[in-house]
Amino acid sequence: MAETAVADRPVATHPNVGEVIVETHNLTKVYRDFWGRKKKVALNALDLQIKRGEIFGLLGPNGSGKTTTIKLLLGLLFPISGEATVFGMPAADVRKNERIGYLPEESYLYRFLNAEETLDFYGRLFDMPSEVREKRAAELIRLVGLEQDRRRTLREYSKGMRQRIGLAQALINDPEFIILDEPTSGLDPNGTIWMKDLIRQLRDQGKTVLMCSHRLDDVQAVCDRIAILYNGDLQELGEVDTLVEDAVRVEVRAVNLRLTDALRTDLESVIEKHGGKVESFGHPMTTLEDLFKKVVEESKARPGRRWLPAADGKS
Amino acid sequence: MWASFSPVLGVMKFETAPLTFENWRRLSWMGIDWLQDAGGFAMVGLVLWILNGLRNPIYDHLPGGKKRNRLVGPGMLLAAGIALTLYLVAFGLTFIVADETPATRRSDFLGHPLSRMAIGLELALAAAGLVALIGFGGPFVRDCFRLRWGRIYALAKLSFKEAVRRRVVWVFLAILLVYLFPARWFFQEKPEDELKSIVGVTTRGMNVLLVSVGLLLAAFSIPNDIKNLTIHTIVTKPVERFEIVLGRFFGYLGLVTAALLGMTGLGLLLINLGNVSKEASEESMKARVARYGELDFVKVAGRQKASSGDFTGVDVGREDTYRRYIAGHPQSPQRAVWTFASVPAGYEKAGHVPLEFAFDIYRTTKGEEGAGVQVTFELLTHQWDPTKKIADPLNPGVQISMEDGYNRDSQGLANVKKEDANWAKVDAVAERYGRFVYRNFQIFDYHTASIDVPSGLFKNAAAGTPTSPAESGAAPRSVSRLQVQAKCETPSQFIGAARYDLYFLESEGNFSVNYFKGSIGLWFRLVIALAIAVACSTYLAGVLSFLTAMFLFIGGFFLDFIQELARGMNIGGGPLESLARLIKNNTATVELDPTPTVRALQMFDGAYRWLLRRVMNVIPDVDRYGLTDYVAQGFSIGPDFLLLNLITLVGYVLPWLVAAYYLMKAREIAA
Repeated sequence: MAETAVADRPVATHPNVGEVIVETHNLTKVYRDFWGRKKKVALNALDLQIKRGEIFGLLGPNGSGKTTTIKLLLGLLFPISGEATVFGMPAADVRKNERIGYLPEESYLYRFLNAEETLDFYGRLFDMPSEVREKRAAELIRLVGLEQDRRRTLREYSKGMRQRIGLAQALINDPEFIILDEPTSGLDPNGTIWMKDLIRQLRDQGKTVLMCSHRLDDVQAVCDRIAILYNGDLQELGEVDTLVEDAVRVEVRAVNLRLTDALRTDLESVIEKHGGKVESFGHPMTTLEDLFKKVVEESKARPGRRWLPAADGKS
Repeated sequence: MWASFSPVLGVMKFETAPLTFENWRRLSWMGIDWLQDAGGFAMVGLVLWILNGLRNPIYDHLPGGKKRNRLVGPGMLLAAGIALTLYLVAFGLTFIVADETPATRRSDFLGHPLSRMAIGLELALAAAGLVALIGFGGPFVRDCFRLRWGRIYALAKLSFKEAVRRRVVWVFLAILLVYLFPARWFFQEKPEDELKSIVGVTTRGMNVLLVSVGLLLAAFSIPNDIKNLTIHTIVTKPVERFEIVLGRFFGYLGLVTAALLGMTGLGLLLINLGNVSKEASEESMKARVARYGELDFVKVAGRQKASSGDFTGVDVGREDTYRRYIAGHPQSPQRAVWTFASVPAGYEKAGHVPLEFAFDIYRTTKGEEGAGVQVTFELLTHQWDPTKKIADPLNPGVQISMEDGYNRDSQGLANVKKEDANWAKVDAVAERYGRFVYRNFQIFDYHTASIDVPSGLFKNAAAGTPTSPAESGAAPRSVSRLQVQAKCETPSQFIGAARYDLYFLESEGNFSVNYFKGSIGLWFRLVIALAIAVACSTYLAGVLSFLTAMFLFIGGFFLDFIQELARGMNIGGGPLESLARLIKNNTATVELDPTPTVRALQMFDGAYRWLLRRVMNVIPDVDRYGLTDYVAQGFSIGPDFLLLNLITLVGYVLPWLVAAYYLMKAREIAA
């Protein structure tokens, strides 16, 4: 993936970091049938605030109300009660969309257009002048790594490529608030890493990101705060680190050490002296993502096959 | 206006008079009807919107803790209240008007004799409609100022590209190309009808295919966007919902307009290169600018005209009653008289003005093989008075009657043509006396003919103020400046005439320009089709939108029949009564026994008719826009006529766009 123009920009924080830009009060959505009878409570009295400059994760199993919440914020649905405001404006007000970018779960773009035409079209919807539009489109195509394929119609794109052009259209107006629904869907591991880095960079630029994902490791890696929905109700809300912290366990990491019996005995006695009990000792595991990253970087630096079978035929 | 394609005669056939700015009474009534009809629908929409907005409000939170319902404002509520009050007043007046008798005093109101209460009813309904339109249309107008044409253009361009890249358009255009080939390759016809056939076939082909492709594209566009969820990436941009509607509408309109222009240009090129026959060229490859008069049928006795109310022409028993007939004989008193209230100034300087005509011949005997029927034309100005004494131009100081003077001075000048050396004398005589006669002109069926009228006649007509002589102290009546009397000279034959069968040819326009103007009528139809389809597609699924739009559009071609059915003027009653007749094997003209069953069926038919009268207003009058008949017959389409048709088009399309605005605004895109 190409080095991004976003990364080249000086990191700046918005002067109003921490300001509440999305707020819901008692937001409720009930789906009714043709006769007006209640069919399903999709969202029940949701109270939520999203602050400027944070990455907010929205989690929950299928049917929990995540997508409904996003659609209510975007004005695609109307609540049956309660209110939602974005940048102080009602969610139904299209003017708020000047400052919003949205990447849908599936890339709902026009497949008969190519990448350039797609970004030109969406740029026009923001009344961007043609020079600004062209420059921005070129920059975003480079950012998402589709320069070679910019003249091909989206019909010919893979799922991952469509996801990337979908992200590009979400960023066309340099939005302050970006809503990403399953942003890593369809991306290979490299693409996933790239997407997470990009999300962090957006946050570092003072933008606010609302991310909806089933990939909990991605959410844990990038989000500052999360909300967990279940059956339309808010079940948990808070900072990720605080929520996942296991307050009754202590983890210590040390370097330049090998685990010996003597070390084990000394550590056990210290811990028991403080009233604790040792659960396990061992060398920490790195993540598969980190291993993958390491292997790819080393392979780039030194092309060729690295892994060789053992001389005795065993792996 | 309904103009039919009448290949048998080289004239326009108008069942109702074409719309002109001069006919301001008719235009006023059209305006009142529009306010009542569109206003009625606006009232229904207003009530539904208010109920929806109160039931499912969307609030704006204002400073100070107040909140305001975005959907329903105080203006809407006020307008609904006022309109409702006016409708209640109209409802009350309905009962009063229903009780009126023929003895009730009536006065002229825009050309219709109405009682005061009836006038009040019409105005109350119009006022209620106006208020409802303001209430319902107010937010629409306000939001129109928020529209950005750049975004609409982007959406229109998207629609255009999508349609072009889908290739379905090309299939339709390929089929359309077949219709551009000369008609004579496919069927035999008279040479003089060739151009009419070419124009007619081409137009019908373009009508069907361009309207079909427009309906298909427009009806499925927004539903497909919603189904494929591509609309999510648009409504989450700062795009007003109505901009999406307009973008789709203008995009497809641009596409079909380009196709129409291309096909029209190609058709015209093929006509010009296609060796159209001389007869067809003379008959139809023209753009006549005609001046029509008012037609009356009279019986003359001597030199005096009898009361025209006694004689209205002869009904010879033809099924088509468009024309009335006068009997032929050298002593026949029957005349068809066209009167012209004014004459354009240009006529006096033109040298001569052609008088064109095409009558139907009804033969009671076979007559002479290959011979036509003879007609005498007598043109008289308001200054012609056969018994009036004037100074003899040849004998100063001597008085001579106009008739004697005319007979003397026109000796040897019978049926002189403009090329003849004596034309100047004919012109002078016509100017002096205000009379011009062309005797025994031979007319043939299915042919337009022409005689040249000297300018001197028009100079005479333009002078003075046309009034009849005062009778018994009564005030002078205003009369026409010029009248054209036609008399059939051939015994045992009849000639049939309608108002538009005779006219002065003011000028000749350019056929090619007129050909393009004829396409404007088709363009108007495309606008209607697209507006209906796009409006329906904001709420209905693609297939339903297509079917609804198609049925409404096709229904427009049968609007006259639907109107007869809705007003109970058709023979045989409504659907249930007709069914009863079928079951009982009764003919349509037989009066049914007034049994309770029959009365119940007729009552249900009455309800059906009431419903149909409401729905009828939704059906577009597409026949009005059949302008290519003018082209086929060789008549110019005037700019004021186009303008009026454009105004009526806007009057029909605008309510659909307002409906689309509200439907799209209320729609949950992601539901």
